[in-house]
Amino acid sequence: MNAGRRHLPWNARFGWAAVWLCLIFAFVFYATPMVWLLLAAFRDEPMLFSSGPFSLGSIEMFRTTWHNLTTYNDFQIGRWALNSAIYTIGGVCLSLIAVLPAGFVLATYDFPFRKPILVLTLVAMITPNTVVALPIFLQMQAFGLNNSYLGMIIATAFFPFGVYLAYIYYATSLPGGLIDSALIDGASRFQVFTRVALPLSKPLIALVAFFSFLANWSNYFLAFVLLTKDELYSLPIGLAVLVSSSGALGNDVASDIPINKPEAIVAALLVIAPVLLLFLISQKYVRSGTLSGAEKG
Amino acid sequence: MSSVELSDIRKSFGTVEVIAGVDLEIEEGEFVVFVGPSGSGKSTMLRILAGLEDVTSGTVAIGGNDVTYAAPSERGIAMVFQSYALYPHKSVFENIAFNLRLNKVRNAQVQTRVQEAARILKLTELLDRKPSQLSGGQRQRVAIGRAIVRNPEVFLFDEPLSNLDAALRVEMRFEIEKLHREIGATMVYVTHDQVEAMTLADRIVAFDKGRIQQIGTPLELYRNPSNLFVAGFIGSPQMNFLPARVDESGAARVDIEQSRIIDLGEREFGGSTALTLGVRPEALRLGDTGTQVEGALRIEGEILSLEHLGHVSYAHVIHGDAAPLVVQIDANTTQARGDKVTVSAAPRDIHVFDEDGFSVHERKP
Ligand SMILES: Nc1ncnc2c1ncn2[C@@H]1O[C@H](COP(=O)(O)OP(=O)(O)O)[C@@H](O)[C@H]1O
Ligand SMILES: [Mg+2]
Repeated sequence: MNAGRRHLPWNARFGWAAVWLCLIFAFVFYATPMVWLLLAAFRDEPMLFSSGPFSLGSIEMFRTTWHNLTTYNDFQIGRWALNSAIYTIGGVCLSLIAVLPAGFVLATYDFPFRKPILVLTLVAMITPNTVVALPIFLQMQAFGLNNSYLGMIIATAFFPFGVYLAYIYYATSLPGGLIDSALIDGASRFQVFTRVALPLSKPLIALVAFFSFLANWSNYFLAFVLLTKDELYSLPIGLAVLVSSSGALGNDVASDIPINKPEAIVAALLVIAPVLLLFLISQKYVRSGTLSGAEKG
Repeated sequence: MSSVELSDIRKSFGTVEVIAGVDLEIEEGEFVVFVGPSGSGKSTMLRILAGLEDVTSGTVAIGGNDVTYAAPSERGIAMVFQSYALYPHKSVFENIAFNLRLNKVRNAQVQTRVQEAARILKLTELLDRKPSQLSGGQRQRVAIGRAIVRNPEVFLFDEPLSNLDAALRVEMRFEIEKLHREIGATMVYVTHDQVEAMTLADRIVAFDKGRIQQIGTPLELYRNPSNLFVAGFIGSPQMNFLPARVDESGAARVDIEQSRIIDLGEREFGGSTALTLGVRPEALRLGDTGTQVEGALRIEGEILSLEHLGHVSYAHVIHGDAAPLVVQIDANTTQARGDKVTVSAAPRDIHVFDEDGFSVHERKP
């Protein structure tokens, strides 16, 4: 291997150098803020200002910050985290229930208005969700679902991108022969979905769940529009309100509530952590060879 | 009572007519092979039979019942696909049992029927495996097992062997033939491989451009192709074709540089003047031996190349600008490239096709 490398022609060496340069640049550019955030969580406020950007604090400092953040206002942040979990998990489940059959039907059956529905899905998908927040708000108000768990779950379950993902998956990855086979075996169209398509959808479910989770967990604007009671706040909106009301990110003299810059930093990590965790779990399923053996390969 | 009856089936995808009027009766227990080039509509025809595709017009009857609009599962058919189409998440056992499970058959009976199918197909050892752990041949066996277990009135096969390598293909061909003998069900088998068609079929249905070109036993199609398409498609190497014109005398003159008249006997050319003559490689000889008959075909040429297959050899003979003639010769031939030769054929071995490509007369075997 080494011997081979030594005899690389100059242009190949130049190629390698270019690749490494790009990688190093990307790493420095994207990873530095993350590393800083992680390290900053272990420093207290004076240290954030006095020592270098990558200096190490201590577990003690982290503990104090954590304590300040979590116990503030009678563990209010725990309540928000729970709310966030309810909205997100509820939204993910509901969107899976809606998205998978919708994508399946769009991909595998020919029915009137199929094309227009696909186009609508695409339009809905590229519409920024800030645009639909207001109509959703009005809709929820009409049904009396503002400021309720159900309303928030229904609103977050709206996930056209998921329909599109499911459509693409079923149209390209599910061999048409399997559906034909199941029909001949006597499966109804619904059974084709539940007994053949669904068991083969692990990568799709992981992908849709991941993206739906990501979209819902960090969805600030929708929660901001729909929720006005602070006991119903989700984590992002609760923390945002808390951090801004405490003035932690301003340069004014710290207020009397114990929410300062270190607390804001830990709050940010708290919001990121579940997404990272879910990504690690779901990517295993996304890459799994669920469909091998169906056809030739 | 015929097992399958197709009447004036037509099928269009958009504006493209893919099946252009097919009438066919298949007897109970018959092994019928649809053969034709890729894109000729064989699969579409089979899928119409299976109920996976709607007809644009026409009727499909199976076992005397009109099933034109029946669901696939109500037709008493089972189908084996080229791609096997096994359920990757189910074991071999559950793949075979799926139909029975859907029909809520009691577990004890599922066990016996799956075991029986597995025994016939030598799959007993593999029942716990997943499809991804099987070889191509084993997967195709499972696909066939899935068909057997349902006891269908009609088996449909869509190019079931074309994903297998050559040796396995021959082996599976025999197994399918044996299966037909053992269970005696009606089988409709689609292939583009004429060897499969010739060896398996009771009757061959030759397809081209969405139409049936000829129906008959393998030897009927081989000996008396009713048009140029069948003549060219059945037989390997292909039949040789030569353009010819009808002389005033009523004899056909081969339209090559040594233009000579050959007497094709009492044939009715139906007003055509431009003909195509067809001669199979094994009906052509090098030299004049055996064809000293009056009016025989005789062409001077030069050997362009020789193919030695071991049991037989083929000489490719060029004559003028025409496509080379393929002549079957003895494997122990002493002929060599560049030899000047005379190629000849007896009149009774010459097929004659009219302007529209139809066989001019049905020759007696
Ligand atoms: N679902 C479809 N939509 C449009 N055209 C199709 C469809 N299925 C088949 N065809 C066309 O019909 C013709 C016959 O196809 P097929 O029956 O698969 O031929 P074969 O099996 O003889 O190769 C082809 O030209 C093919 O492109
Ligand atoms: Mg086909």
